[in-house]
Amino acid sequence: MIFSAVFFLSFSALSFEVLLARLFSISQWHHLSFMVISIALLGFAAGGVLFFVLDARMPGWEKKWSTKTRLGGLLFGFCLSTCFSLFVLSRIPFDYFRLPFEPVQALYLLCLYLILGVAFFFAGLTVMIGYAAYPEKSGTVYFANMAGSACGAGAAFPLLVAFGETGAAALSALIPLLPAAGVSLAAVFGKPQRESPGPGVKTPFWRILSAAGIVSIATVGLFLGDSAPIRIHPSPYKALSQTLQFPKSAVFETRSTLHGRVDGVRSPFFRHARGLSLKFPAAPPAQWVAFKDGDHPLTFYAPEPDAPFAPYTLQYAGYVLVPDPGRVLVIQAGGGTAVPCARASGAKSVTVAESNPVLAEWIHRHYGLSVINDSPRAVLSAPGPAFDVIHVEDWGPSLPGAGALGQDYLLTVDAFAAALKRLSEKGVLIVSRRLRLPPADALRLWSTAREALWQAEVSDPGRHIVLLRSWDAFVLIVSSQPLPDFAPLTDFANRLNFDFVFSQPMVPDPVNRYSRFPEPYYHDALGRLADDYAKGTAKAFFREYLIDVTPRTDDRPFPDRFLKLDKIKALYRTTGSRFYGLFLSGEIIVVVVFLEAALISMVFLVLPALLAHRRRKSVPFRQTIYFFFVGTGFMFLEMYFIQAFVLPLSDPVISFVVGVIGILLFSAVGGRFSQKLGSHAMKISLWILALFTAAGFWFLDQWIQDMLRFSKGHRLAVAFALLLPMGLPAGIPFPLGMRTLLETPQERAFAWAANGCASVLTAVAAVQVAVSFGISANLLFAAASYLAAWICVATRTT
Amino acid sequence: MKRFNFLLAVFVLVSIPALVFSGEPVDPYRKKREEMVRTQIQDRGITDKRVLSAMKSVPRHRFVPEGLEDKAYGDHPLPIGEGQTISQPYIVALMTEKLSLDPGAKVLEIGTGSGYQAAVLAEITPNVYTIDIKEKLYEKSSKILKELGYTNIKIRSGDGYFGWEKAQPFDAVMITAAVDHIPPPLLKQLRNGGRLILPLGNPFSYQNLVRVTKKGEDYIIDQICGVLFVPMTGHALGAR
Repeated sequence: MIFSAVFFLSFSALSFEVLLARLFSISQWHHLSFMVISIALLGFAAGGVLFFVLDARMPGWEKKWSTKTRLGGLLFGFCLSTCFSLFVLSRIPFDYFRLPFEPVQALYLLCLYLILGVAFFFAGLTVMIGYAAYPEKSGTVYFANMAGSACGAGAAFPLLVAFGETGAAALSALIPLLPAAGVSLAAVFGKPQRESPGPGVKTPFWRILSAAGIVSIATVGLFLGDSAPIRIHPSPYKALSQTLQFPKSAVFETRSTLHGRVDGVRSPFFRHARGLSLKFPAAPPAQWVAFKDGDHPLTFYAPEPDAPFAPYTLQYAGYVLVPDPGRVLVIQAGGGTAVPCARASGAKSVTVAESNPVLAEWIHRHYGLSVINDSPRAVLSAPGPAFDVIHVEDWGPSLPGAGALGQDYLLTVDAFAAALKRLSEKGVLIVSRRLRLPPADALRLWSTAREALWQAEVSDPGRHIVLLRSWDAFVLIVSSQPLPDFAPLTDFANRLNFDFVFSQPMVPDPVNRYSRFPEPYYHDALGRLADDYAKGTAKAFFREYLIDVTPRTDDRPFPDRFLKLDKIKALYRTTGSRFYGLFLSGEIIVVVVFLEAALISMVFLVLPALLAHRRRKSVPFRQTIYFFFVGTGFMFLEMYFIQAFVLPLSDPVISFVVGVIGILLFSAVGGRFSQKLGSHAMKISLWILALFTAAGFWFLDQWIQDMLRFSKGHRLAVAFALLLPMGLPAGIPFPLGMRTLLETPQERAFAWAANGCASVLTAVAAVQVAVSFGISANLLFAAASYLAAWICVATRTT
Repeated sequence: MKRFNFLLAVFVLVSIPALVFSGEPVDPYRKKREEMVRTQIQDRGITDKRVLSAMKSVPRHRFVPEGLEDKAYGDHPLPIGEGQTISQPYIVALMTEKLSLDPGAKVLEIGTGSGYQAAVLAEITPNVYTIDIKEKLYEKSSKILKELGYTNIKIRSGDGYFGWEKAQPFDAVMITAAVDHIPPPLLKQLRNGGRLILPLGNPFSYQNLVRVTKKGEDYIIDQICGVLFVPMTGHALGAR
């Protein structure tokens, strides 16, 4: 019974967690989901703390709580608390932006923590009871836990596609209880069956499960279908919510897939094109918009082949340099003007690379163009004929700072290098972005292009790059060949009232001419940066500049991350002392979450230890540290793969699913295998893990990048293959330690709590490590953790 | 005693007509208004005498909802209902000054709201046109403006995005609600040399106050400062 309970609850808990992350990504911002769920996951550890504290008053608790009746109660508790948490989530008026101004918002946040924490508490408690009650079968409990979690992560997405976000979340929480509902219905409507499963429907266990089943089915009704009374709405600060506030604006189609939710919206208030010149003489083009997870609007313009408005957009500047292009590749991460620009240029062939299958289908249907439904980076890495124009349109999220933690592999040095390789001799790369002050993206992308050209052994990279801007956008143009003549561009800019910002050599035309700032901020900042590059002091520029504008690589693919924690005060003053602009930054959230999690972890681990000390019972310090480091090692490893696979698998959600399923499944097998091993295997497995993770730091990045050359299916297979050598040994230290290092159920409860706290803290810390030092640095932290765990075991006196 | 009664009667007889026919009603907010102009507007660098005079003249407290009169001269915007606000006095003065209005200039305001900005403009030029999409605000502001004697202001209800075609061209256009792009129809209704001022940016976040100047075939945009306005189509908030 305990093994199946562990399996199904782990299944549900992980599935629920994944879907909760999706729900939060829609109803709030992605990094907020991360905040709430991270803290809620401490509920897992809470079970261990509870029984550690109650151990003296409740001797033999592990046996009492492993009976069918009590386990049934835990299942019921999980089922009700998950459904209740969904209900609360859909109704609670939590508004993150009001947090600094409305004290009641802190109460709402606390409610979310507690309610979500309770659901995970039931799941964690069940697993912990498994270890405490059957220590000799720790490997099997571990297997059930990990295999259940892996299946849960895998099941979340078919459910999502079939039942939508809330329905899938509710169903995922209730799946373990559905068999019970069947039994219950048979008991109510059918004749009593002698061959009924288990001890018969009249035992307390089956009664509990039956009741839970009926309640579950009734609850599911609240979440399923279009008419479900409980629905999750996008954050009011997202572009979709804002659009729907306008009259006659409505969603005409919604599709939820593994890649996220896409809403197609029509509104008479869509009457603009970003980058459009004020000199465009006609009415704005007819249009409708697709929103991804409630934001990142992608506009579909009237599909006229010549798109008369397109030559009046700033981003068309790149096409001016390549009259009558042959082949054009369009990559649109939001925006939507790139396709009309490509068509208006008279290109002989236009190909669109789009990783989201729904958007790929809609683009093909709307424009009738050839669309490759794959990662744009894979398209750039694939062999094939050269393009005269590669147009990357990536406006970023609608609120600055909201994308700080988002991995984006289109704007890295590696991406630019890959694009340059695919350009024809006369080819250009066009990158269009939103204009923001203080100058940020413009500097970063200019230096990104410069470094990519430098890597391609271009002797004078500055001569290949030009930057122009309008009042709301800028465009970076990178050319295969040195630009001999800027006249076509200056003519274009002057004709349409755009500002020529920077080139090397600089054109004689005045800067800051049509959209005037008090000072030519962009030109001046780029001039200083170019000078510093020439003098070899670019690093000093990046160090001293107000915000972080260093070029991004595939190892640190965070192009919307600009915050420097040591310059927050100066930035606050420079941006008009606006608190909320900074508050939104995902990076600040990481710090806050880590501090919160650290505080709760301290309470969970230190207070019980002090209590135990008073009762003259000591906490096994070395063993606790061992389990803590095993937890951090495992989580750093898992987080590395989840983040690193975004590049070849093109989507953070798919990467999450593959990374989690792979590592959990392989470690489940490792855990089951550990059942046959003696304590000596612990040191060996830790050595292997330390060695593999450290070696991975040197080799894995290149291997993962090389995966881009494979087909989609091959990439998936290789991803699983890469997980195998580390996943298998990663499943050994924990169950083996539970079996051989600890003696009492109380010790096991505390070890469980320590491991849980470590996992949560590491999950948060790994994000900051990736943002600050690079994704691969997580492997070094994993190696260090496993080494520390090895020291705990190696220096143990028995 | 008789002498005292006589003097009292003379005093009463003289002072009553003096009070009745003095022409200037007692304005309990005059001091507050003058202080507002001095501390919030002049001290922040607004120097245009006509703007300062207009800000001193218009009784801002008459344009705010009942009960908020005492806060009318504070250094902040105030809600006026229908999801709209009356702008901070400094922003009203800044936007007016940045339009560089000549006496007699023809000016169009998009977003009448309370009517306060239109009244300030009307103190500078007799040719003020103003549009609001919200019927209730249009009715309310029309009434107040009439009561205060601003009969020269042409006011109507409608979607300001498309301007006031019959009255074009304008020397100046002012949008007093946030927009994410510059409405092309308003640019077309500008006279050569005309100015359009607006809060430009994310309507649900913060914006930049910008001034667009039409110079022959070209448009010059000046970025002025960061601001926070309600959305231009704020009428829609709560419409669903």
